[in-house]
Amino acid sequence: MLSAVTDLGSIESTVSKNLPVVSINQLGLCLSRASASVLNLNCSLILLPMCRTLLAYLRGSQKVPSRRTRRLLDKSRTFHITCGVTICIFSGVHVAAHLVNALNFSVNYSEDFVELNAARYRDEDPRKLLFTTVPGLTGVCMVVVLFLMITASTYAIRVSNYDIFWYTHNLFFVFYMLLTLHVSGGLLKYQTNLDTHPPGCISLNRTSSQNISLPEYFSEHFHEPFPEGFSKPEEFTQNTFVKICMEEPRFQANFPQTWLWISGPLCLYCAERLYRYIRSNKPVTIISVISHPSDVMEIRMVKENFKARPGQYITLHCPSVSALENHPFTLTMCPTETKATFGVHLKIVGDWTERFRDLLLPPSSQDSEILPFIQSRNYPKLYIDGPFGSPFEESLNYEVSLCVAGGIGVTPFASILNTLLDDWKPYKLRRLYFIWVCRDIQSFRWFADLLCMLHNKFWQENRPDYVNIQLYLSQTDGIQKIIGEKYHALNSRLFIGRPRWKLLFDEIAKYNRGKTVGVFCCGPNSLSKTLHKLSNQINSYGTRFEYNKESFS
Amino acid sequence: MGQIEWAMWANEQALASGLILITGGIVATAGRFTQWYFGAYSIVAGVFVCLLEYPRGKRKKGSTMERWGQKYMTAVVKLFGPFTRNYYIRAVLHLLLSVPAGFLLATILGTACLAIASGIYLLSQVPPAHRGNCRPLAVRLLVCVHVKCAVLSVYAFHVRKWSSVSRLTDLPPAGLSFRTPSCCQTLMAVALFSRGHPHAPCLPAATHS
Repeated sequence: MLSAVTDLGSIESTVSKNLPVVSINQLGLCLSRASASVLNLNCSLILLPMCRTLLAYLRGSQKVPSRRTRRLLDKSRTFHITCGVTICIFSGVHVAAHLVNALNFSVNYSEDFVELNAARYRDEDPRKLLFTTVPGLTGVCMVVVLFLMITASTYAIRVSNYDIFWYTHNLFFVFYMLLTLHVSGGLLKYQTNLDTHPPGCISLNRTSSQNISLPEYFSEHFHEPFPEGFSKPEEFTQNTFVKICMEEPRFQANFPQTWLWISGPLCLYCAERLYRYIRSNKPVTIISVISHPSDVMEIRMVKENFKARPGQYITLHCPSVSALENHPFTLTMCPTETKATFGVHLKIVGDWTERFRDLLLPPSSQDSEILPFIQSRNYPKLYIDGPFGSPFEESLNYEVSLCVAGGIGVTPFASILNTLLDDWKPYKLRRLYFIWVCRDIQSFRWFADLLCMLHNKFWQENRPDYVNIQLYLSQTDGIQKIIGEKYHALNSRLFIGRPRWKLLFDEIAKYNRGKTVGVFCCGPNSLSKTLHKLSNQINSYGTRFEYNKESFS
Repeated sequence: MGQIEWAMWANEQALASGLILITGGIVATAGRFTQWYFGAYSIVAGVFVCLLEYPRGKRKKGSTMERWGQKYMTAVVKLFGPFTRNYYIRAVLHLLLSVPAGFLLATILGTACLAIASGIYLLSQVPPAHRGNCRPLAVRLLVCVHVKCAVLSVYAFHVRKWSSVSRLTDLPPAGLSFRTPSCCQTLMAVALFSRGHPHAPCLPAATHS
């Protein structure tokens, strides 16, 4: 917005210096140039949130010490969408202004300054201007590409048919190539010989009638203050100082600024994609595949030089399942110094995961827990890309954290718990409230072992209040009320029904007075909204709740 | 790829094209372009398309997110029965609506966008079994964009025959020369998005989707 307004102002004053352009075009030119500068800025900024490896690096590096700055990185997708919407709106303004310009250029063709005209002759059909010039044709193609991209990017399409969104969004590269050509048309020109042909000078070989009409012409069109000392048109006419043109005006096309704006981010993005492609080219080695109840499959794998922090996610690409699709999954186990194995838990929902499961686990043995060892030779090739950052990494940097998981949303917290099991002392975290809400009691078995081991470890180390586990079974058929015989610690912490969040928040506030509690939620949107609202409420104990949000789809 | 529901995307596109038509029409009528009555037509056509496309159709599999307040328009749209339910008829209707707006500069983008939407509606009627052998979508879209540009330049070539803007005030003769570009567009869209040889595009009979 700011760039549009400043540009509009500067263009008005520039326009007032260049008389002939004023006679051809005024508002249309200003609007199109102003919207073009906004588009320049947005087209360059929109690529930056998509450099995910760079953002993950910034999140983890010591160069960003402030938590507030790191929380800005959580909003990268929202920033990308905002830039996209702005591009959409200002493209509309730009196109409308240029359509008016095209008409004006053809109707108000000026014979005096042939070079400044976009039209080749008076009353040239504006549609010809649009389709037979480079800026016009590339502009039309860009609008069509933008139209395809934006209609496929709506929330409804992303949620229901992600493929359409993904494939059309890759047209952005075509858009940028067309943009590079669009500005090379050289439509806007500036005068190179201002000293020998200043604006308002009188040409000696013109007729006397033209000379006389100049003052009226000035007073009509000069709304802005004159450059270099002239304050009023009347003063100019009264002043006997009149310049005489030494030579004809010469014009040269402006250097396309857009190239300067978009080259940096585009190169950065291309470099990052290249780096990611090289890094993900080597397939991983699958160590084991484990089938869990409630349609969940765990895959454990190794890859050399793979490092990840707890809370990060990777994307899986399996050419045997689908040549083009990548799917993101949060790491549930990160590689450590002693153990290079890392793992993901996948819930089988949708055709890609179903086909993937059929390749890894033959249908006959899908009910059993552990796969026989002989199958490992037939695993398909699997490539991973990542790891990429997420807001859940921040949970280890708060003194007190509240982690709420809904169903399969427990996966980011599983990696946090695995890390704490390994060694909890290096991190700032001193108390973790872990709340897990599930519909089916069998779902708790995905991480029941991990939770029990963690609980026992902290009891052994005399830190029983480090992790507070609460498990909720939101829907019950009344038959099974325990997770398993051996999970004593979890059975005593199992509640039937939905959690009462207000009471929970009050309790946490009371026992952690004056502290800042980080709230993390991975689950359905309704849960997320409730927690966000409660986190923003003030409580009487002086405890601050900071809500960290992850956005999916 | 075969499980993508193209009709949902076509619905979004048609809604957006309706808005583009309305905007172009306002620019044309307010700017008092020559032949501004095409602009007025474009506003009316845009409003009609928006109202028709506002109710989001039910998905084949999974839950459908309804647009806010769409139940009122759904009641009206349902009154027309098969004319609005059948996507073939909708595709042809959109194509016909888009043609008159193509004569005016301000609304020509609305024409292009509505024609694309109509093409996608046609594509959505091709059964999934036939789609499996098509070229990847990105390639097809690129080709479609290039074809559209080529067709538009052919259209421009037709326009070059007119030497001045004032000739636009005479309505063109109802000959084939102006219908050809949109017919080319239809044929190319059908050929690109259906399987098989362009010489024998085999489209199944109209089905309720």
